[in-house]
Amino acid sequence: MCPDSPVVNTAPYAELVCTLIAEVLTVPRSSVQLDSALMHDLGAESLDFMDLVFRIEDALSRDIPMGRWEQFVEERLPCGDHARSITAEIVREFAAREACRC
Amino acid sequence: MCRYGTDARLAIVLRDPEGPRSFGRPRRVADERAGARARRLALAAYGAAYGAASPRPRVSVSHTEGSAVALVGPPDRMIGVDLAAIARVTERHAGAVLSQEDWTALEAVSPSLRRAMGWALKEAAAKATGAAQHYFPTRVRLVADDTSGLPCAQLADVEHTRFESDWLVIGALLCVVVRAQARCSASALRECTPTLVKTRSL
Repeated sequence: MCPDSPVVNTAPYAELVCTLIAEVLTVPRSSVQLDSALMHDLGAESLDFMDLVFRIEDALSRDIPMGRWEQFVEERLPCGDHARSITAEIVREFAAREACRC
Repeated sequence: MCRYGTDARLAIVLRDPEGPRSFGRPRRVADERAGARARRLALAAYGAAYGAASPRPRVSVSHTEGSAVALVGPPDRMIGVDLAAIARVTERHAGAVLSQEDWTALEAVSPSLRRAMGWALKEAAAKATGAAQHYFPTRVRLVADDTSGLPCAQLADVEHTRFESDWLVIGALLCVVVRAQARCSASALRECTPTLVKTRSL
């Protein structure tokens, strides 16, 4: 999203997560919206999800065991079509949850 | 195109190394095209061997960086395939998915391949169950085969689910194929985990 855009991501970590997704997937930042499906729309594969968790881990300066992402996806999307249902918003929720974790 | 064991067929479609590399949505499209082509080839070979009247087979497909592999086998046999770019699996990736026991099981593998092998074995076995998201990576563990000493995957929470494995290095790619040992069938796994496992067939 360009700095002049009237559309602003107000949800916590939205901008951070969209920027990290763009960097990990090597796509323009402008192509990543909160409703973008990482696999279907942006071409992510399984290693990319792990890279994304690493980048969130680094950005939040805290350890995030891989099992936490697995558990989050399993709870949040119990029977979803993950190619279409893992969106940037889902990753944002995960980042926000991890940031608040004690 | 090749036979895998006595009753499965494996097709590999490679990206033109001189062709452009793509990212984002174009990468997805290139991967899906390669995957669809590999799937068609493997199904055609399986159909030629067993006839159109045979029960609908199980299919496992994997793609990365414009290349793809497809494995087609009997409907009740858990089979899985994974294609990994060897250099793409870093120490950090491996550290996140492999336990100390997993590393021990990988000792018979060339050090340069261990990280990608550990990753691909786990992913292929998870895909073979039909519930990859549930099993990958922490609910699959690696053990050394009793006779060959080579690594094989085993489901951590279900007894008697060991997978035989084979692999092939194609340039910068590692292709790993797994099949459940004969005593473990898809229907047996469904009985163990009825809410999770959906047999993937055509």
